Amino acid sequence: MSDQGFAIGSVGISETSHALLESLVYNPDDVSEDRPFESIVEAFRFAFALGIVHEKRTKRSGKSAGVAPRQFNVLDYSTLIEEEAVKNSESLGLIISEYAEAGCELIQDALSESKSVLSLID
Amino acid sequence: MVGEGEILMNSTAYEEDSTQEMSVILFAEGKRGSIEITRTARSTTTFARSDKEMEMSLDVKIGEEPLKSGPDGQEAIESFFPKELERFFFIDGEALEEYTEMMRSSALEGLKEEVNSVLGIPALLRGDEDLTRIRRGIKSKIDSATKADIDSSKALDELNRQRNVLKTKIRESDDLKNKLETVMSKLENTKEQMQAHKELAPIVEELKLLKAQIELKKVYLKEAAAEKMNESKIAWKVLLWKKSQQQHDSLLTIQNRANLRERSIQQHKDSIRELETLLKETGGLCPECKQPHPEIEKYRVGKQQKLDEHKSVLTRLEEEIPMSSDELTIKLGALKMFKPQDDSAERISRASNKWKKLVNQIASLEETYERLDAQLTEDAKTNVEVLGERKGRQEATVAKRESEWRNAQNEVNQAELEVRRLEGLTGKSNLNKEDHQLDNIISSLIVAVKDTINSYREQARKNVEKRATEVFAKLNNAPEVYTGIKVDKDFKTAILNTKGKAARKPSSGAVSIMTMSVIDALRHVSGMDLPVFLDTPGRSLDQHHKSKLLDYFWQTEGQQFLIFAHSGEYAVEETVNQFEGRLARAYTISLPRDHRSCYQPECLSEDVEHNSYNKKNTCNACGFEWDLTSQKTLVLEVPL
Repeated sequence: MSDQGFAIGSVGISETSHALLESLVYNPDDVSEDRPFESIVEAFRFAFALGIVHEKRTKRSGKSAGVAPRQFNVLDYSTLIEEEAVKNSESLGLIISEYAEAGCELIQDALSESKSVLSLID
Repeated sequence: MVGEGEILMNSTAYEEDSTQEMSVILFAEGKRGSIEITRTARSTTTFARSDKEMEMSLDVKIGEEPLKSGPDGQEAIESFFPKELERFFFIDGEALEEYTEMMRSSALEGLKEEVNSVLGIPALLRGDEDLTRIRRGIKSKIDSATKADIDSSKALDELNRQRNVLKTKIRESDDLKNKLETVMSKLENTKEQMQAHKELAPIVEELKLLKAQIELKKVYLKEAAAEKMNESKIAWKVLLWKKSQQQHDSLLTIQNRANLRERSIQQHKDSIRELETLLKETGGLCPECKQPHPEIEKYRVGKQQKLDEHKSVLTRLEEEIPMSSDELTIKLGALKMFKPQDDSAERISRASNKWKKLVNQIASLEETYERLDAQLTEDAKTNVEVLGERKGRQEATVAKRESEWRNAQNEVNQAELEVRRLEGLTGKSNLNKEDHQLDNIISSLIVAVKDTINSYREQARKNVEKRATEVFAKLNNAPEVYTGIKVDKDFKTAILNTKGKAARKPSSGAVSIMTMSVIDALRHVSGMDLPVFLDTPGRSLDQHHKSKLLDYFWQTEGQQFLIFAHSGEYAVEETVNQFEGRLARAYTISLPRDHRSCYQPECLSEDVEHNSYNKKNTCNACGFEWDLTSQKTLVLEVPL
């Protein structure tokens, strides 16, 4: 529990979403596939942003896969979600993870419709 | 070897002659009739102990020619059989390594004379020497002439040399022209073949073009993908800013309002302080003129009301407690972290669209490529591609050859100019014209002889290499390892491996066979139809090579072949049985003690009684008796 009255927690996503994010990481030998992100953390950050913009959270199901905590500090995003954390007594990590999970669903939908991942910023 | 009706051997001569003397007489038939050669060795002392104490004589009778003795006799022999050739007709198996070393060594002096002799070159060399000698005489005459004559003579030498250079240049130019014509002919042929596929050519060209476009687009795609990846690093900010911008702006408004409030509170406090001071200090006097004022009370009431209003507003403002300034600053700072650059979204979209466009273009090109490609069979495609590549190569070669030919023509022109210049110089000579002409002719002849020798040696080298390779192929037991013989310009030899290069460490058997093959090839190329004597040929050969050797040399046609082998090389009975049809005669050489059965040709009984005390054997069938201590060599014919 932090001084602000909410828990920090940790981030993680389902294995399915992790696999999806992995498939979005840039590979110089496979440039014809839509792989816009430099790392899996970058992809995770994008998915989280997508979820929060669409105000959509999805609970994680199945086994979870972690995201490198050193490269993703949940406190950097506390301003955006602290009210929600206090109000629902949830940790920042949980909230971010659920937004990211939802973001992955949105990405998957876009890919299914042959849209590019980055078109989701429009 | 004949003496008093019986075979004369060394031991007899040694034991019985008062003056030891031995003769060897050789009879032969040749193109010049019967040949009789007698060599006699006579002791010059009572008891000769070395060759130095022996006197040698030679008598030669060829056909109807008069008898020749001594050096004349030797010259008569060498007139039909040069001494240098003995290596190729009297082959000593024990000296095979020596032969091999001579062929392999860089210092080939050991074989050079022999090779020249085999090729019949000595006559030419002698001709060259004779001409040089004659020319030296003329030169000395020329040397005594005036400076102009000398210069003219030198110019003549130079002219002859230059004419030779011109000749060479013309030959080289012609060679290059021939090569150019050959390639041009091949190019025409290729073009004709391409005509057969002309309806496919546009498709193949289109495919090539498409392939090039696809490759190029793929390069661009790689760049576009990397660019997209770089731009997408802030894609999350673009998204989050949509969410946080409103919050950021609200907080900013709050911050502005808070700043206004602070200023307002201060203003109200200042006003209150001023009004309180005013009310306290004024009493019943006018604050302006310091005189009693009739409406001072009314004035004070007005000021009091203002004071109350300020206090009321101040109370309200102080009761409105917004977010603390520090907290506002922190939150605004955190939210600003999510703010992308103004054009970030546009740049990300542009990079993404560029990548997507290229992906679509490549997919479209690949689809077109596959559609066109399906119209061609693999064979047709391969043919057209191969022909296209060949045409390209040949066109490049034609261009190269044309350039070479032009250069060669220029060199010919320059050489011609030089010849004309030298011709002009030789015209200034005051030299006796006959000497001049003779010198010129001999100079040309010397050049011609040298050219002939070189040309002949080269041709002979090729023939020797070819023949040696053929013989080697017949005798070699490892054709999968050793494929032939290489003979270089100095007649150095090497065994070739399957890659056509010199084998690094050939087996000793292969080396022996190579040596035999080269000797045989040299003899063959010499064209001399003489018998071949081979002494202990199988000394360094294995069973396979030994058998192959006899099989090759003992042909039913060709040169007569005499082999002198010891019992360890070839078994007499087995060899005679194997090659019976090809043998004219076979003999064994032995000592009496080697026989345990009777060796009389008409008897050959094995019923022999051995007397160890007297060291004698006696045949019980015919009564023949032989001394086992005798050193008298027996030459016995093997019945065929």
